This record gives sequence, C-alpha cells and structure tokens, in this order.
Amino acid sequence: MASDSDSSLPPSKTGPRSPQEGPPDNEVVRRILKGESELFEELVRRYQQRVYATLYHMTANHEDATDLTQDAFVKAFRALATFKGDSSFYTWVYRIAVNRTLNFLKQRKQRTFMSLNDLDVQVEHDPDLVSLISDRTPERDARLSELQSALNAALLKLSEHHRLVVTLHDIQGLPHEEIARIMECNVGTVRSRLFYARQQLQALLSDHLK
Amino acid sequence: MENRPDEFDSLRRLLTLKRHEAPPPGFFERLPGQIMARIERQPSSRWEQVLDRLLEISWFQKAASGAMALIVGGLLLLAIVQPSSNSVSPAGATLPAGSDASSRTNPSAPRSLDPVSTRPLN
Repeated sequence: MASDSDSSLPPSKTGPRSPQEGPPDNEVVRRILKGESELFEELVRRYQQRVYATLYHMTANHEDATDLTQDAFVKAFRALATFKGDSSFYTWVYRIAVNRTLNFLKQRKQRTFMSLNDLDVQVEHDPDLVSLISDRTPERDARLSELQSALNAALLKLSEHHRLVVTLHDIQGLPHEEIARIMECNVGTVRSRLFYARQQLQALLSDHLK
Repeated sequence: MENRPDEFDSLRRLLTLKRHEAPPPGFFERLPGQIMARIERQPSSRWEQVLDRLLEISWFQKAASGAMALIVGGLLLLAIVQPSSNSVSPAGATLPAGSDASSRTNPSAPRSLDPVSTRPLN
C-alpha cells in the first residue's frame, strides 16, 4: 500500500478552503495576466490534489485522471484572460475540469476499465471503516481490496452527473451550494441527484453494507 | 428530498474508503512541473483559443457535426454524379482534335494526334 504525504484528501466538510499561504488567488491571476506566467504553478499547487481526486473518482482510472488534470490546468491557463472573478478561481478551474471530464466520459462509454490507486496506510484506522472490515490482518487486506473494487464498480454504474454529485459531496465534502455553482445548476437539482445516486449505490452495494 | 439522518449512514461510511485511495508517492511533486512544461511546449494561437471556447458550447458542437455531415454527403454525391456524367457523353466528343477513324481502326496507320502536324504546308 502506497502512501504519499501530500496525497491524502482533505476531509473537508466545510467546502473549499482558502490557500494556506501566499497572496490570494485573484492577486496571483492578476500578476500572471501582467506577464508573470510562471506564477501559474502556484495555482496548480494549491488545487491539484482536489482537482485530481475528483477526476480520479469520476474515471476510476489514474492515467485518465492524470491526463485530464493536466488538460484542465493547461486549458485554464489559456483561458485565464476570460476569468472575471465572479466566482472563486477554485470554482472556475473545477468547472473546466468537470466539463472536460464529462465530455471525456461520454466518448469513453464503451471502454471502461479501472486503474485504481493503492489505499494509504491510514485506511485501517479510519473509524468509519473499522466496522466494515475484519480484525485479522490477512482477511482485512482482502476485504479492503474487495470493498474498493465493488465500490468503484458501483460508482461507474451511475450516470456521470450522479457520480459527480456523490464524488463532490460524499467524498470531497463540498457543500450543495458549491456543487451547484460548479455544475451550473440549482441546489434542488444537486439534492435530488444526490438522493437518487445514494439510493442506487445502496442497492448496488447491499451485500457489502452492514 | 431530505434523507433521514441514518438512511445512508453505512453507505457514507463505505464511501470514506475512496478518500484513502492515493496516487503513487511523489505524484503531486511532479505534476505542476509537467503542467508548466506542457504550457510552454504548446503555446496556443488566438485562433485555437477561440475554437476551444466554441467547442465548449453544445449547440456549436451540433452545428459543426451537421456541417461536417453536409460536406461529406456533398462530396459523396459529387463522386457519384461525376463519373456517370462522363460515361453518358458520346465517345467521339472526347477525342482530341486531329484524330480520325482510320487511326482507331487501323493500328498500323501513323497516328497524328498533334494538330500542328496535320496543318497543310505552305
């Protein structure tokens, strides 16, 4: 099981957080547009983990998620002059990434195969998962692996929009309002999609849920 | 559409497993450099930027597909009509000036296809 110090997702239930350090996003964007294009790397560093994680959960494929993350940031850089600051840079870049991924998934429909990342070492101590896995180590590893495959396969059976809502809300921890801004729909639509997606997942994973 | 508090509790706990799926070590150290290298390697023209933006609009995608279908259809129609219009024209009409019936019926007869050579000498 691989672990990566900076790869663990923020278990944020409060939505996107403002950057930990450095100038605000809008200030960085303004300087990039004035010619300091190398500063774009700073924006990539701020949001790469969340963008990658969302695209990975949407595709269940590390290589596809990597390509799509790169595409999204390259596209964002080229369209930076059109960023008006009506929404946060984070929402804007997320929207680019999500739209690109939805288009990609439409084309990929016929060839879906998973290339899953390893689980990190903290997984065995996650209180939410303890009751779902066995106490004995060899069985626990097998159980985790089985759960991971079943969960990803079930997610891939959802429509792209339903999978996106589950990913952004239940995995990434974004609030409904932020998801509505990213998906350019109203909050009611987000809630109803989430409800329907959970119902479907519950039925698909009934054998694995206690 | 509000859910009962514990209706999806097990599912939500199972979904936390997804937060523990991590890319290979060092992935996020390398990714920004790869993105910046791509940006430097492929500077886009103004035209590409406009096209990129247009392709994001769904009605433009449909219009572009329709236009492409029309062009392909037109080319196919042209390809069908062109050879058939050639085949209905009389054979003699396509012969070059200066060729005569004898040169067609008698292969040993000298072929004078050059109109200059058939001109009477002064």
